[in-house]
Amino acid sequence: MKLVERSLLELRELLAGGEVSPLEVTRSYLESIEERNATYGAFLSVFSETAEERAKSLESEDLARLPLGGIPVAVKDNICTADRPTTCASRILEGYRPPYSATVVERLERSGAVILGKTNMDEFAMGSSTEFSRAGPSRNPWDLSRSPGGSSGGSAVAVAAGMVPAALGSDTGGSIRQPAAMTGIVGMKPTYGRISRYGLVAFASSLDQIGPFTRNVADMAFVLEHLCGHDPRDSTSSNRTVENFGAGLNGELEGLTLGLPVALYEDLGGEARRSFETALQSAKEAGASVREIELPHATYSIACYYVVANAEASSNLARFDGVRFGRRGTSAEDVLSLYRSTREEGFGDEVKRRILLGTFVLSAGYYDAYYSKAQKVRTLILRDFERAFGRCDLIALPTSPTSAFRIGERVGDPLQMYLSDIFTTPASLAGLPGISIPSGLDEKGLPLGIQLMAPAFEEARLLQGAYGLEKAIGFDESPLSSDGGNEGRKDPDEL
Amino acid sequence: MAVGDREIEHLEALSRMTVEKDLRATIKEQLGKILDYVRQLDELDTSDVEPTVHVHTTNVEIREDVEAPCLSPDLALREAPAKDRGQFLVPRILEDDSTP
Repeated sequence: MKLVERSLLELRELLAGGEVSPLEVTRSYLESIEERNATYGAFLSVFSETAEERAKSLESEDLARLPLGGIPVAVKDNICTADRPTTCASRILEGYRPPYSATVVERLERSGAVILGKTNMDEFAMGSSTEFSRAGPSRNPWDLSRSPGGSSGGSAVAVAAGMVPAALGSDTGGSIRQPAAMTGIVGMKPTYGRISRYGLVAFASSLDQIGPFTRNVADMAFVLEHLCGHDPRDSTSSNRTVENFGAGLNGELEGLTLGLPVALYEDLGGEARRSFETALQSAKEAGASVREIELPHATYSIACYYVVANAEASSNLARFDGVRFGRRGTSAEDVLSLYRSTREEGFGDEVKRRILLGTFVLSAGYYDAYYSKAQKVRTLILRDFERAFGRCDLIALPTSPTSAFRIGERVGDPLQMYLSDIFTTPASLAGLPGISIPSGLDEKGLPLGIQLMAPAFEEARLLQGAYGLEKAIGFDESPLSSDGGNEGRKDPDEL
Repeated sequence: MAVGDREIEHLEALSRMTVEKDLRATIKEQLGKILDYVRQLDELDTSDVEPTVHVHTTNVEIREDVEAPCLSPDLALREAPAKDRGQFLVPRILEDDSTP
């Protein structure tokens, strides 16, 4: 097996046992990026030099003592890496090199990880397809004419296509879970407050969470543990003890009750429904029980989410004014025209749409009817989850209503694009942990995902359930297995 | 709800962001549609419901109010699009009649 096809835990074993060196591993992955990135558009910048230097410096370390010693990792381009590009796939941050690193990047580096580069995304994480990127879209390794989902599409593709064994994304309304589902890998959004947001360029501060992509659940449990923990620089960061998430993984589903909010997906048909139900059947055969639960307000999640998230975005993105950092607009006769031209020239259409929408719902005369109303509906959604978790251990939903869609198919209709987040926004609004694992392939040969959600800070329970479900489903397809990874699969419609 | 030119101009002024002409027509239509969609929240009675500001209020702590290292002026200015003598440079804000 090639190094770039190994899981993170396998690589760790090889590295810690001295069977491969950090430099060999780093070079293999850099070669893979070199070979594949032009096709997939996963990386916006590749840190070849600093990565090799870093790998060399690890050669003399005792890798068994560094949990991620020598493991190559990719980081979404909205997470600050000191002195290395961080652009949020936006024109307004072209060439920007932050003077400090995000806490999560410091944690990765302290654990011995080697950061290979920054990944493509929808501009400022606003989107569900990675098409709203200044650099152009990422492409789905299962079918190059399709989107990998988004907004963390570049990170998902980097993992799915063998360019890194793990990558960081950010999830505000589904931006990790949905691309994980669409590329056939594992993606997790931990509880709000588990991972420090210090150094994550803010989109919607009450919803944003950083989380990893990996190829399997055991890798996820391992890497997650080393990212979590209290950070005094993020006032919303939790001081809860971080457990050894990997320790409890035994693959058992006996005694686990999965709650199914059936009313939320009753209209879902086709392959997504079939794949979800087949996965549930596998869970039952492995000993889990399922029970119908109600989340009566979850159908309002999209409306609630797009009010809250865009209100926060309009406020957060006010900092991009062409004064302290980033690109300055061409018209600068006075301060006001400087601000207006900087933002007109620097932001893409989707970001503008969301800033205007957020400004509207916060403006005098509309605040109560939209923003305040949405914050109250958010309370109802939180209460739904509290009640539901009295009757089940984990809640299961499909991750996305469809498999990967074609590039260009949804960009003209923003509302349609927003509606595809129906199954991921509820957990975001409630600040709950959620994980997407592959549930199978549809008839086009495209992956679909099943999502599990747990009560706040119950990551250990969530990962244990996901690990058992992963075993029960037994998905072991990869877009690389059929063609060596250079062409991507063909859509049967096109054959 | 119908979003017209007046509303867009008001939002542009509030958000300090010009919307280019080509985009204006589609944005008006799209904002109208999205705002119509989110009005479904009105179906719910929330008269006795508190708004959610923070999702988890337990297990968070405010850090001690003590000095900590911060960016040096040089580093803080490094990414500025325009600077002068250790300061961010912006167009004149106050008119000064005494200078010719």
